[in-house]
Amino acid sequence: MKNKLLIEIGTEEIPARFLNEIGESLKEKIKEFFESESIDFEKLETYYTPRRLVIFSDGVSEKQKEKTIKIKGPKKSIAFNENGEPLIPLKGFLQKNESKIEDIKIEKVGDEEYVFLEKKIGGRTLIELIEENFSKILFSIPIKKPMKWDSLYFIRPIRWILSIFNDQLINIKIGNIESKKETKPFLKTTKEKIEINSVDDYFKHINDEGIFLSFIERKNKILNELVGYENSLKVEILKDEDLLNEVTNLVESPKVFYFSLPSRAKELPNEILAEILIKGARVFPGYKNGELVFSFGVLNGIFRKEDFVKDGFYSVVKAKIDDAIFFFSKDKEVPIKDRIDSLKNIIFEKNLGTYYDKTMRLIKLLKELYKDLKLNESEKILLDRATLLSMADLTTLTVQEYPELHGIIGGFLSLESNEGREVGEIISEFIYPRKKGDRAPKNKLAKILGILDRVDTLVGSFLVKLEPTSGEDPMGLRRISLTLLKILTSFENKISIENLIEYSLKTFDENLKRDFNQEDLKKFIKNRFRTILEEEGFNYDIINCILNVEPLIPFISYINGRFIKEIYNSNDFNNFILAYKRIFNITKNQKTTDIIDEGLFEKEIENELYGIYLDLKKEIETRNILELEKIYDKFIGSVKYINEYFDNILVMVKDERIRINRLNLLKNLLNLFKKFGSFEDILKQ
Amino acid sequence: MTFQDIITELRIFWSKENCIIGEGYDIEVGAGTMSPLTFFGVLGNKLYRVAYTQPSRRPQDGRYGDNPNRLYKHHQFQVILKPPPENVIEIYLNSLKSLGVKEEEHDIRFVEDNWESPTLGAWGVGWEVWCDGMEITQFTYFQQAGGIDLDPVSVEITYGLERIALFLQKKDSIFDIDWSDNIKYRDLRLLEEREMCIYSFEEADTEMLRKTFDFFEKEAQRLIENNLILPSYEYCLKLSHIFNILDARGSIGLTERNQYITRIRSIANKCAKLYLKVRDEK
Repeated sequence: MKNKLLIEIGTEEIPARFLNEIGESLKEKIKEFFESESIDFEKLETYYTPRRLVIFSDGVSEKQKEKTIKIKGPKKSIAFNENGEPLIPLKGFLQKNESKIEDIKIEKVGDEEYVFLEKKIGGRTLIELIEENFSKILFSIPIKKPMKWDSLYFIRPIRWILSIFNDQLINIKIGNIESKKETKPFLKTTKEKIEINSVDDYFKHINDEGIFLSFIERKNKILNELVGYENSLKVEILKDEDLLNEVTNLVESPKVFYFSLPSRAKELPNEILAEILIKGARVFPGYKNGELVFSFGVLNGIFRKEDFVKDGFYSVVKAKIDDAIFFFSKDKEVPIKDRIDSLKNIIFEKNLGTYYDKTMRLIKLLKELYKDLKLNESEKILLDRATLLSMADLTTLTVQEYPELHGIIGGFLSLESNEGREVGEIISEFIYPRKKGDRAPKNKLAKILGILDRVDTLVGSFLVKLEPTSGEDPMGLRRISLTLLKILTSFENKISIENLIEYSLKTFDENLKRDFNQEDLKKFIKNRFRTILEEEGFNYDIINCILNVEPLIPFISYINGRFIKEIYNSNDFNNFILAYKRIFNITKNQKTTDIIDEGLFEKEIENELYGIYLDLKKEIETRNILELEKIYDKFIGSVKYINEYFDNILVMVKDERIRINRLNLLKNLLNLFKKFGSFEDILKQ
Repeated sequence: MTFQDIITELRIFWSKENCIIGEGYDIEVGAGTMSPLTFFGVLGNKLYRVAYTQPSRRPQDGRYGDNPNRLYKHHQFQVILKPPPENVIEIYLNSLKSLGVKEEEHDIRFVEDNWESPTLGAWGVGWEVWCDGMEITQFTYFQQAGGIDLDPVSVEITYGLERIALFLQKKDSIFDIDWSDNIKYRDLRLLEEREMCIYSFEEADTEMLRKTFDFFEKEAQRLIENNLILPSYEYCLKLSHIFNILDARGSIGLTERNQYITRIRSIANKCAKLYLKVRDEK
């Protein structure tokens, strides 16, 4: 029979947001431990619920593999004196390795003789190893917000330990807790402990208690039940991914229930209502014919009666709705434009000032950005107004209670305050996408406001050294840059990252700019862009090719990337790359200028290629840059001339004037191509 | 179960768990934590258990008695256990059982919620406890108070009494709660809610309060310099309450706000430090 190992750490409720990373990191640590101790296993899994961290290994070896290792010691010349007696270096070496002088050998390495020790290691039992090391392994898990109890530090207090190898107890002690062959039932106040005699026994009892140890199983159970209700009630449920992950980690034994919303719910717009349900009560909104009428909650305990729980959740939701109606009606009493001044009381970031300061910066930034936008006067008037009002809803009671309603409340208030439908729409839309996978704003002006807001946060945060580090991202800049790029690539524009940074910098205080390195920020944004493109399935070489272009215009890079992806496997593109690389290689490291003297041409093909160059240059200058197909047609059309040129012309001739003139032509042609990508990065032959 | 029955039950329950049964402090506080029974009780390494009801004022939360779920003043039942016993969660759940809330019938859940009081230099990690979705208790492992790392740590269990009564009595509005068999919460407290809100939001004389703050702060400083810990701390609590009124009145700007908090915290920290020192000398 296969050996089975099971360790269950019983804890008080581990916060939902940390559970997965703790459980997964425990698995890594155990795996590293098994590997370093030469313990073989067929299967190693960790499972986790809010109250249990479980390690399970099947087909695990009972003992370490034995092996002999050879340890190199000191040189023979310093190990012994003339009488052959051991000296300090050798004594120390033996002591360190817990060995005797009889165990050593002398071997030659190169010209020198050295002391060597052959030592058998291993052969210890898994039980021994775990007893000795487990507590060290457990506490090596990185914990983001640890707490102290009984002089120990972990995410929450540990209250019991079950650890068995087949049917044998493994003795582990953590603080005052000693392992036993016992686990705890689902209900905490049920006094009985459950005796566990084997690993199979454990899984059976856990199953009888209605506990689902695996995150995936719990999540799928919830999802399946939600889908079941969608079909039986003919509703559409907003299965918010964050909420789903959270509730999955708030329960050991999930079961979905539902109830109808109180009638007053109709007094609130769907958007506000959904936020109250998700953030306020952690239940899923259910829509019937577009109207939000149901709530779907997840209770803990599959054998539990639903009635009490339903009643409880219903009154919570009702209270929150009553509250929100009160807030929202109070908020409507003060027109949105009269709220701008109160933004002086709300801090954006302590070194970057208040939201009032931020609003003023956005207005300046917009003026700068107008240079790169083609907007008519009436569009500008709308956008100016929306920008001025964009942060004002942060002063409302509703947003203070539900921060994620920022923007949405601003939109409603703008309508209430007669700011007009368009302004309201810009404000309620610019916050999208709010997270990965979310949609971009629906209209162009909202997109522009969304860009302003995000660029200001990005540049500002880098100015005051709040850029993300490996673990921390206090301003959420990863998400912000991701959503910024998502907006920039969602509509036709020629806004470059370089210009955005430069314009935004103008809106910040000079004192803040002293240690600012623009390249760091550019690199950060580029890396996020890379991530997006990778996730969309672009080849690495295409990504490199389109990102090494200056200035970096995300929209153009994006459609350019898609275009290259389409023609990537064609012969024409292949030939173009070969021709391009010929030019690239010969002009590499050569000093060139943009002066090309036709008088120095010797052969007709030189004139022809020059003609091609001029034609392409004109094409790029005049042609709408978005008509990539036309431009790539010209690229491909030039291949034949380039090849003929190289077949007939020796570029690197002795005559310096002629040589430089030839290099100049080639380099200038190359630079035209380079506006669309560093094609030398394309790896195909 | 009436509002007063709930308090009585909890007192009996925690008395059986060897808690000192204290009384609510007689100076305005924002939470049970601010009572000296907690603030000083959690310091030092002596074993300590206490439980008491604390009326708590939060001017910002007031709604003139118009909102069924919000109050200027609410009641907390506060428990401190130092050090926390291993089965502290079970004990807490049993206290709910004594109120008629059984774990087998109700979905009681511990949802992460960490707590911090910048004015007291105190923080802890823990949960809000949900009963069928309603938050009824704040459960915190206190890690620091008065800027001092606690050793051993204490557990702080804070029952929201109005929430529990709403739940047990199945009422939609706090004001409908039965305080006793024949008196409603409304009868006893509605006028107070209304008037205290008018005061805090509209009537409070901010000039006078600012001056008073300065006077009281000086007094607190003078007292702590004379090694009078508790009198100094009482002035510190008064400062905190004045600050809360000024805040509700909308009279405190942003930078000012941080300055006020720092001023209060500095006295609280001094009191905590001196308290530990004096205790050690004893």
